[in-house]
Formats: sequence, C-alpha cells, structure tokens
Amino acid sequence: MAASTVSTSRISPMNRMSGDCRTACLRATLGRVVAKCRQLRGWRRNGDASWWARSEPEWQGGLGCLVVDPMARNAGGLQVLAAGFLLLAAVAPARGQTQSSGFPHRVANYTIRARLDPAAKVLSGVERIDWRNAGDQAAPELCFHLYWNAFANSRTTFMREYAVQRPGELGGWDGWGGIEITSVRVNGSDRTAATRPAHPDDPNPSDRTVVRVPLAEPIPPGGAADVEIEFEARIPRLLLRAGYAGRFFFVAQWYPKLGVYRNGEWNCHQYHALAEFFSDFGTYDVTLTVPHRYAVGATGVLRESRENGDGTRTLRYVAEDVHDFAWVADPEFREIRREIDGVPVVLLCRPRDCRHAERHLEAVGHALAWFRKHVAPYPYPMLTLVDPGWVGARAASMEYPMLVSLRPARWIPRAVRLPESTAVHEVSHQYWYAVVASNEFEEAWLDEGLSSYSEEKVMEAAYGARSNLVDFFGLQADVVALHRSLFLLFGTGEPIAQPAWEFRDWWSYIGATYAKTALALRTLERYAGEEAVLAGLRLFYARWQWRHPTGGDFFRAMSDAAGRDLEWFFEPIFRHGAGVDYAVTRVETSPLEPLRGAGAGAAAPEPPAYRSRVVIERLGEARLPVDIAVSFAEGPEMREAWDGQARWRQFEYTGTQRVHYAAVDPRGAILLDADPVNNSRMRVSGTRGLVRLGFAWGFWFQNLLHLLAAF
Amino acid sequence: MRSALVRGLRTSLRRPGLVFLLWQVNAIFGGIFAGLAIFGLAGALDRSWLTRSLLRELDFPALLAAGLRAVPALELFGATAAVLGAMYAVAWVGLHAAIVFSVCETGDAGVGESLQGGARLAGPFFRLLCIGVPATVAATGGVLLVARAAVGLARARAWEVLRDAAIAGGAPGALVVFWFFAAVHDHARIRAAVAEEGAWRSYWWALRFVALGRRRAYLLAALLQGMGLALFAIWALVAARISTDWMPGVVACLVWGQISMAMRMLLRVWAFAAQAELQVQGEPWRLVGAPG
Repeated sequence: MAASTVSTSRISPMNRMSGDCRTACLRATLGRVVAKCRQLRGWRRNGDASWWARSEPEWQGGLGCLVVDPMARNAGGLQVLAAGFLLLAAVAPARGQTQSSGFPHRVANYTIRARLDPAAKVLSGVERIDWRNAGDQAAPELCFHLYWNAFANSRTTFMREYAVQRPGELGGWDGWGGIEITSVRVNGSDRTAATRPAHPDDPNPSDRTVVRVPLAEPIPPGGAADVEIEFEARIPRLLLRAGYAGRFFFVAQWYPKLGVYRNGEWNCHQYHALAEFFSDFGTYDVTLTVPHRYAVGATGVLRESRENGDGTRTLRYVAEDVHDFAWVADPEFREIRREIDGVPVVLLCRPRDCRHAERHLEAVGHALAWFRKHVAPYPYPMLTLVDPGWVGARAASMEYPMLVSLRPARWIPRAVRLPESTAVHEVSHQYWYAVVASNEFEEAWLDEGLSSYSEEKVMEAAYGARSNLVDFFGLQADVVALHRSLFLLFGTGEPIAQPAWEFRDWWSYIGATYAKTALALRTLERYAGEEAVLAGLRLFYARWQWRHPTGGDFFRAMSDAAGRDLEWFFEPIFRHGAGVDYAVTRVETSPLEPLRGAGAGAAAPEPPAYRSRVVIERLGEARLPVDIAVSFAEGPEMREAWDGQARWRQFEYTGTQRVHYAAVDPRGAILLDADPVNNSRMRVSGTRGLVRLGFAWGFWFQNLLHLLAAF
Repeated sequence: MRSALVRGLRTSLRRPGLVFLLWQVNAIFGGIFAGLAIFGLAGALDRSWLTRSLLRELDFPALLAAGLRAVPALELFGATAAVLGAMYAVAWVGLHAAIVFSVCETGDAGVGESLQGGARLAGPFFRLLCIGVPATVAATGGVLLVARAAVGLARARAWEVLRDAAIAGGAPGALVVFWFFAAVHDHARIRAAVAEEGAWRSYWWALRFVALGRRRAYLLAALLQGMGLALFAIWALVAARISTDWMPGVVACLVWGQISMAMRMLLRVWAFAAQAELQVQGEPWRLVGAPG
C-alpha cells in the first residue's frame, strides 16, 4: 500500500554519504511511505496531533540508506522494490550502533543538560561532546565558539561592527550577556586551566567569542575525543538573533560549540555582526529544565516531558543530522499543529499573533511543495515555526535546523506578503544551510543566495509573477523587483563570494549576498535554461547533503547539470564582482545618397532609402552573450545576437525603413544589468509614457498641496 | 451644527467663481510640477524605450536605476518642488483670507471683491499662521513622540500590549489632535476677520471655543475633514479601476482627478462657511469693515 505511492526508479540500498551520484534520500519522502516507515521503525503519532515522536531512544538509523535518483522518474517495478525495502528497513537491527558508525557525517554529537532561570536570565548547563577528528591531520587542540560573549562588552568584534553597520540601533542597549566555561575535560583530562581565548580574525583582546583548548594528547585522524564541559551563560537582552525580551527567550548559539576541523586547522571564526555560523553535523540529545508554565519549541523531536514537582519541568529533545540546536521558551506561546505536505509542523505563537498563523502556514506549505517537486522532500521528521511577535522581532527571520523564526504578520496587511516571503526563505534554509551545510562565515551567499533564489521561485509559483510581494491599491511588486532594487542600490559593486565580515556594511552584504546571488541565478536561467538551473540545484543538494560544500562545489554541480562548463559565468560574476552593463549608445539613421558616378544615369528611379546604425557597448567587465532587438518604423522586429566579448559592436541596416529603436536584452533576462535604462534607445525620443507618469506625479503633488492648504 | 452645515453648503454653492479660482491655482501648481517631472524624467531616461513603456507598466527597479543615474537632476527636482510648495503655502494665506472674507460677507461677494477683502486680512492671517503652525506641530508631534516613546519602552520592557496600543493609538491620536488644531485655526481666522482682535486674542478665543465644545465646533470640523478623506478615498477607488496603459485612460484619470480636486476645493469653502455660521449662531456679528 505504501509503496504504491512511490513513482521513482533505480532504488538501491546504500550509505547516505556515498553519493557522488545524483541521489536523494527518501527518508522523508511522500507522506504515506514515510508514515508507514515510521510506524514500522518505532515512530508514533502523538494522540490527536499530527506530529511524530520516536518510541525507541536508542534508535539511530532510520531510512538513511534508501537512495533514489530523482532524475529518473519513469518507474518500472518500483513498487515491489520499495515495498521490499520498507520491510528490510523495518526489521533491520538498529540498536547498538555508535553515534557515528554508518553515519560518517556525524562528527560532533552533543548531549546537553541545561536549566533556564528566567528571573535571573541565566542558563547553566553541562554538555558532553563525542567528537571525531574527520580531518586528515592530528588535532593538537580543540576550538570552541562562545557566541554569547559577543554581548559581553561594547568592544567585542561583534559590537564594534554592529555599531558601525547599524548606527543608532545600539542606543541605550545594555542587555549584556556572556558565557563562561567553568570546567572542561577531554578524554578524562582536566583542561580548564589550559583554555585560552583566540582571535583568528582580528587582534581584539576584548573579544572572547572563540577559545582554544590545547590537548594533552593530539587526536589522530579518525580518533575520537570525549569532551565534558560545564558552562554558565548570562542571557543577553535580545539585540540580534538570540536573547530575551521580557518573558520571551530565543536561545540560540547558547552552548560551547566546536568549530570545524579540516586540513589541519580549525575553522572557528569570531562572532561577527554580519556573519552567521558553521559547524559539523551530529546528533543532539538535549535536556532542558524550564519553569512549568513555559511553552518550549526546539530543534529536534520531543522525546520526553516530565514534571519535576518543583515548579519546573524537563523536556528532552533529540535531533539527528543537525549542526546546531536552538530553542525558544515563552509562557504565552500556544501551539498550532498541522501536517503540511506530509511534514508535521508546529507553529508557536502568542494568541494575538496566532490569528495570523494561516498566512505563515500557507506559505510554508507552498515552500515544502515546491522543494519536494524541484529539489527533494523535506529532510527532517518535523519542522517547528516560531512567530516571535513584535516583542521578539530582533530574533525574527532566522534559520536553525528543524526550527525557523518567522516575521511577525501582525500590523502587516495581507496585500503585503513580507511574512509569507520570510517564511518561504527560512524554510528554504532547511535545504540550503541545514542539510547542505556551507560555511556561513566565509561564503554566506551559498545559503542566503540560494534561499533567496528559491524564495523567488516559490513566491512566483504560489502567488503569481508580478505581484507576489505587494499588491496594494494598484501598487504591485514581486520578490524579484525587491531583489533588483536592493541590488541596484547596494550590490552592484560588490563581489558575491567574500567573507561576510568583509562587506562594506549591512546593506552591501544584503545587496550582494541575498539579492545579487538570486539575480545571478535568474540570469543564468537565460543562458542555461530554467530547467538546467533547477536540475543543478537538485544535483547540488543530492551531492552535498549532510556535508560542507564550497562555492566551487556549487559551480561544478551547476555545470554538470547543465552538461557544459559554466565557469565563464561564475568566475567573473561570483568571484570577481564583475559588473554587467550593456548599453545601446547610438541609434542613427541617415538618407542613403542616390547612386552617383558610373551607371547613375541608367539606373531606374529608386524609392528613398536609409542607412541605419545601431551601436551596442559593453560598459561592464563581465562578458555575457546578449540578444539585440532592432525595430523599424514598419515591418518585423529584427533579432541579432552578440557574444558580448568586445567593448562594442555595430550593426548597420540599409533599406527603405528607418530604425525606430534598438534594445539589448529586450526580454530583460539579464537581471544583473546595473543600468536597465541604457538597455534601449529610440531614434526619436518618445514622451507618451513620460506624460502619464508626469501627470500622475503632478496630481499627487496637487494632493500634497491640498493637504497643506487644509490647515 | 446641522443648520450650520446646511447653510454653509448653500453659501459655498453660491460661490462657484471662488471655488474655480482655488482649483485653478492648485491645478497650475500641479501642472508646473507635472511639467518638471516630465522634463526631469526625459533627461534621466534619455531616449530609452522606457520613455514609452512607462505608459504600459511601471518597472520600479528601472525607475530606480533612472533615479540613480540622475541624482543631481533629482536633487534639483526636489528643491524646485519645495520652492513650489512654499510659494503655494504663501498664496494660500491670501486665498484663505479671500474665502473667509467671502463667506463672512453678508452679501454674495464676487471673486474680485473677495480677493480685495482677503488682501486686507492677509496680515492678521499670516500672524495667525505663525501661531497656529507651531502649536499644531508641537501638539501633533507630541502625540507621535509619546507614541514612539511608548513603542521604545514597550520594546525595552517587552510589553507587547503597550506597543500595540501605541501603534494603534498613535496615528489616529495624532489625527484627532491635528483636526482639533485645524478647527482652532479656522475659527481663529474667522474670529480675526469679524472682530477687531489681534492674532493672539483670536487664537485664544478660538481655542476656548473649540475646546469647550461650543456649538460642537470640533465635531463639525472633524466631520468636514472626514468628508475630505472620504472624497479622496472615492477618487482612489475609481481611479484604480481606470486603465492608464493607453492615452484615453490617462486623460480620463486626469479629468477624474481634477473633478475630485475641485470638489475638495468646494469642501474647503463649505468648511469655512459652516464654521462661520456656527460662530454666528453663537454670537451674531458682521464682518468688520464690510458695508452694513
């Protein structure tokens, strides 16, 4: 019965990490298959709710070994294979595996116990990390992020950058926080005294967001470290991404967290105002003790919940194949549970915000459906959404594995779909960040840009092409228009591929990382085709799920999917920030002189003829092939093609018709063009459009004057 | 209040010439601005195809790009608009004086006579403007500042209910206060025109008149201001349904806009006439200097 819903072919049991082929895990595929599998493997539905919890704590496997080729969908005999596999999966021994055996991507497995004291704004905890050296060189030390120390004083690297990048927002903020390691033991050896702060990015002595723990014995490649840490954290007042606001706690980046060890060095950057995060996959087993009345949402699946009899309760969450763990707590939160596109979804919101829940849930549904169709099924057993409300707006629009924070919809008219686009963007991050875990410090564009591109596509599919973001009293805009505006204002001169903290400011980071990347992929559609770009995304996901790809890996996947080398596009646009600007600089026509000299007298009278000249110039450094449309006073429009390599190209026409106008990239497909105004030129200036706009503005000016005169 | 409203409407309808003059002045300023806009856009867009395609669709990013390439022209454009606005404000001091003279006049004053009478009142009206504008800005801005401070406090203390209340109440509260001071200013001008009192005394009198609810002065003013908003909303609803991607649509929208504007000018005259009637009902008077 379950297998009858599967329509893929070439199923083969193999390890989840073995894929250099175009494979995608079927673990969370079509709803009924997943439901059946979960029932067989010990998952259970929670009462009337539509979410899942596991009943076997030791269970470590899952359907991770089921691999399908999403490119081949012409099923044949598939149902039999799938049914057989489901049976195998159900009876296969799952207990007794170590955390990482069979799952080489699970490098850092965390078991954390933490207690929240909301009155004192203190979080105390103990964590045990089962870390494996996945590099090819011995590790003489461990390196930890202590992110909340960014909020320890006004001179941390984060605070210095924040004050520059967002002037005025810090005024009066004094919600200092921090985190302190009180004890650290590695493989039984007490290393507390040896722990020291590190500054890999700048020599800022006031910054303690990274610490190094030298080891008594280096950990060899493949070797393991058993790390025990006790820590205590002062929760900062919410400034950006994490902290408290009243009784609302958004607890993210809250525990001592290992960096990523590769090639003999730790990738463990300080916390920057613009940069986000990077860490290894693992299993998180987190036990939280909170006051009884607090509702909690977290990365992972709730395994246990017990009352302690002292006004607190303890909740245990387990999340597999994640690289971070975030949670929220608020006594006012209510839960809305749904199964959307086969995925159990929990939305946490305060009652006044829950009225707008449908907006978020509908958008999430569109995103999950689009990804299932174009990339892969949702990869985790559930998804938690948090509407932080306006009181927690500084924690809004953030992504964590299996948990995202939304943009509050209260006070935002339905005709303005910013909450919807945010929900779509953050769900996109479950693919481009949570599963395909690129380095957000160094290549923020890889997750933010791909999510922005996905956001454009989902919003178009769900809400229409031209008005999917704003449709308000005749004012229409889509997400692409928003990205183009951000790009034109802030992103034209910025290379995309650069570390997040090296951008000039917040807006140039947004303009390049989010907008320019998305527009670059839209522009690539013009050259490679939309299907090839989407196939590239699928391939990139299949190749790099549960791993840490770089920009180069993305470029290779796109080229492989397109069946040709696309480096000519990626190299200048992404790596060098080459500008794109093609312009029609001349459209001229002159009468063709009648024939003179030999044969002039014998020639029959000719109708008036003209010689027309169109000059196209490449003003930017990027060299892209372009289409050119040339329109004449009568007759069909002519289409020309230019490889765009030279600085300029001239087209000449002789005939009885004069050129009316010429346009380079007439379909507007090159969304990276820094100046769309010069993309076209008329021989004689037209004014009809200007008249409309001018009179419209004139009338609005009349209204303004009338408003003045009302007093 | 109802009789003041009805008599005020009759008074305003008997002054079509004045309404036409008000509309004409407004339209001239709007026309100048439209011409500047067309000129500025033509410069920024050069001979781009956008100069035609803007008739069919408004590509905001392209327009933004045009603005970015013509920043100095835009700055000049903005400065010219500011000068136009200032000139209009000065002109309207005199026009307001003409309206008040006309509606307070016992007979039906012609346009020329109203303008001459208005010229005599321009001085006191200017002084009243100097009192009324700061008072209104302070009071309205004060409400907005309080609302903003409440939002800040709500954010610091995480009192979301306070934030909601501040947002929900801030703008309407400021509008209520603005309408109050607009009513005070109107009554002060009428008072200054009909009694030989200085600007301060007139303003103080009007402040008490409106604040104490004499003849429901505030309600009348708010009703007339609300009607102005309603007229604007009707214009917007109809205009949104007129396609402007072809020239006849553009012309129709333009004509409808000017009809709407003329009606709002009539409403302005009506407002002064009704408020003058309200004062008459409370304290019979005749215009100082007017023939008895």
